[in-house]
Amino acid sequence: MALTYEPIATTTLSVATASIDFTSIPQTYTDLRIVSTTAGVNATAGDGAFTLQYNNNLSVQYSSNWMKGDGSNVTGGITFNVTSIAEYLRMPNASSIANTFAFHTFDIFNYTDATVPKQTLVTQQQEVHTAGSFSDKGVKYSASRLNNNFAITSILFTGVSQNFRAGTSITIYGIKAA
Amino acid sequence: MANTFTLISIAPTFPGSSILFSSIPQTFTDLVLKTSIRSSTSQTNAMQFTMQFNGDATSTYSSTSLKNYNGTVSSASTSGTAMDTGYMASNLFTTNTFSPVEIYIPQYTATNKNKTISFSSGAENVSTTAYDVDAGTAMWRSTAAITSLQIQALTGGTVFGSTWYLYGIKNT
Repeated sequence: MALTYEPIATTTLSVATASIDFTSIPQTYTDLRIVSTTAGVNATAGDGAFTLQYNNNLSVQYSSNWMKGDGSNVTGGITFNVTSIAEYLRMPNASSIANTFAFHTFDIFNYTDATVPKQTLVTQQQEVHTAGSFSDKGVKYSASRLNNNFAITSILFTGVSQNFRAGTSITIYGIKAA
Repeated sequence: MANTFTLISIAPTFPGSSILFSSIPQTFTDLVLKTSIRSSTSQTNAMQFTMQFNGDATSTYSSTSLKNYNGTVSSASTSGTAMDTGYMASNLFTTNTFSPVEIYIPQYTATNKNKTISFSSGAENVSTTAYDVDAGTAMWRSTAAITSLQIQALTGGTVFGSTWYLYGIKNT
């Protein structure tokens, strides 16, 4: 029997790297799930950002609505016409608490369906038991949309003004409905 | 190809005040704990429970949550000797109502990372009071591989029909 939930690709960095590009994604599944643990190399205390785009689409076709809790406040918002899923995704910088990585999940539904825009559910977990300037400390949940109907064949992760730290690990799983 | 998502262990349905999953195989990438639980304790509010790894009871845990309790939305941050991992229905909640809880532990064998997890739980009550939905993140500030996990603060245990399933997810 074919597997329902199957790993497609994994990248774990042994050195700092600017971007991670998963290409030639098989079109034989129904949904994709991505699990990532990420951190940056900047020396500034706090968190940095990375972006996620499909099929190298860097145009302002992404939008998202989100809610987050930072341990004190609950906030929510919406962004339009941005160049990344969930606008900016956050990860701890190097001078944050040592050995701490952010944890994200991305669920992309019907990624091969060329008749509908691409929807993604994003969870972001950044538990950092330290002082510093954090844009997204705690948890953040986003529903994101790419206003483009193409089937997803590649997924690009890119650090914003910094490289991903060694140890950053990203896995893509395929989920098959039949 | 071996299964990606594999059942590791099932906890007994009549546990005491804590549940221990020990000797966790080191052959997976991530762990997922999925539960359907209801406390044996009769109290008005949902029951919180906590988790420790590898028997570590030192102050190496912290948690941040986002919740809706009785219509009030809030975010809280805690630190201490265990991580907050959600809430479950008390035995005063609507009959036969169990709480779904999922705790995801990525990269549990990594020895270069502190262990950051996610949790989500729901304690639905057909009532205008005492309902609770809670989600968040927690961290164990240790780079040790996780070999055991213990759910705690289960005052009075859980009722018959409660289930605890620990799964391993393999990325190869």
